[in-house]
Amino acid sequence: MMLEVNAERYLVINNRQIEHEGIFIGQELFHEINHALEHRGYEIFEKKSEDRVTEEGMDVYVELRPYKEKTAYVSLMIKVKISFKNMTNIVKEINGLPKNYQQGSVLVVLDGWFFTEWEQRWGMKPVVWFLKSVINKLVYIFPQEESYRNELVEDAAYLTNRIKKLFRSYREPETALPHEEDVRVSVEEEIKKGSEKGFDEDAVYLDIKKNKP
Amino acid sequence: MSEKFLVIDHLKISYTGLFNAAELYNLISSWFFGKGWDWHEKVNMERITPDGKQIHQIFWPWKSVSNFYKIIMHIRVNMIDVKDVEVEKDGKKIRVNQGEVHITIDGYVLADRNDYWTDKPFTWWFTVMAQKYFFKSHYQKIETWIKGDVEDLNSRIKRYLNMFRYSYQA
Repeated sequence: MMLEVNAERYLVINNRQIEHEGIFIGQELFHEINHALEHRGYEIFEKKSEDRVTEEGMDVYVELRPYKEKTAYVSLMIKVKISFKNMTNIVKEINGLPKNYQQGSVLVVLDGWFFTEWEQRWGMKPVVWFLKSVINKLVYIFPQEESYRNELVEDAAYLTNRIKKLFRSYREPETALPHEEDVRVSVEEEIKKGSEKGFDEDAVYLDIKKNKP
Repeated sequence: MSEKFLVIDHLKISYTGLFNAAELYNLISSWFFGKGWDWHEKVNMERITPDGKQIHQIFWPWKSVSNFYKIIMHIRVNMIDVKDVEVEKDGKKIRVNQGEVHITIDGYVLADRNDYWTDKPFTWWFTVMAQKYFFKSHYQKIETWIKGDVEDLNSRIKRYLNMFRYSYQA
């Protein structure tokens, strides 16, 4: 495992927030995050867990530091901070069946970090560390390192989308945004309807009839 | 001098609410006895202040897992503003403590626990090469061992405090 202490650190993604207010299932959120991170090849480390019992409910804070070692020199890390505020347990009926939910506000914050350090020894010599930093920042970035940074951005985007999709599923059907597949299907149907009617009808809007000799 | 590898870096558990300080201490120590660890209590300090009791404990339990390796945990327990309160549960009055608990856990793997191989430069070099190229899987097994033990202790403490648990299951 690469230690953060001696490594050169680059903050690639800074404080990306995903908020949700209402009902949710906390364990499902953890499961989704674990699954998404494992799918992208990360090893998960729990850094901090905090629970506070208040009159309004529970305040829970969980910090995860999943990391992915690309080479002996490069490591990617996405800090995931999950915060539940005023969380209470409720029972809701879905399709006639009672189901346990939690209610409150959720805030998920993502930070993407890119570490470079040769087997925990690079940072030991200040001259080497300085030269390497100057070359990396001002002279030349190796294409491999650049691709790893892009990979970190992609991984964070993937995780963000998975979490947002989960939160969207908890919303009521009327207020929820339509799925991409539903939008695609409805657009295809509209195009089919238009082609069946013929383009004369559409031509009115395009002012083609007016321009005909 | 033996080489110490940091595996778990400052795993923190914080809880504010009702708990039992004595039971929490027993839980931690009995877990280590049950797992066959050697218990080493470095600091156990209690101060009584107008805001309540301030308890500070440091434990350094260790376990020799082979002739060469030893696993060590450093546990720091800070209990802040601990007060004795009485709560009613199922018609019975129970005396518990109310306050904040902050627990920090570090996990280490110590190589060459007998200080035999790292005494001379040549044997030290030989040890480094052997660990790096021939016995890497041994070290990884021990690393997995300490990670598993820390995770077990972590979940045990959270279950006792009835915390909202993050579970690592993909």
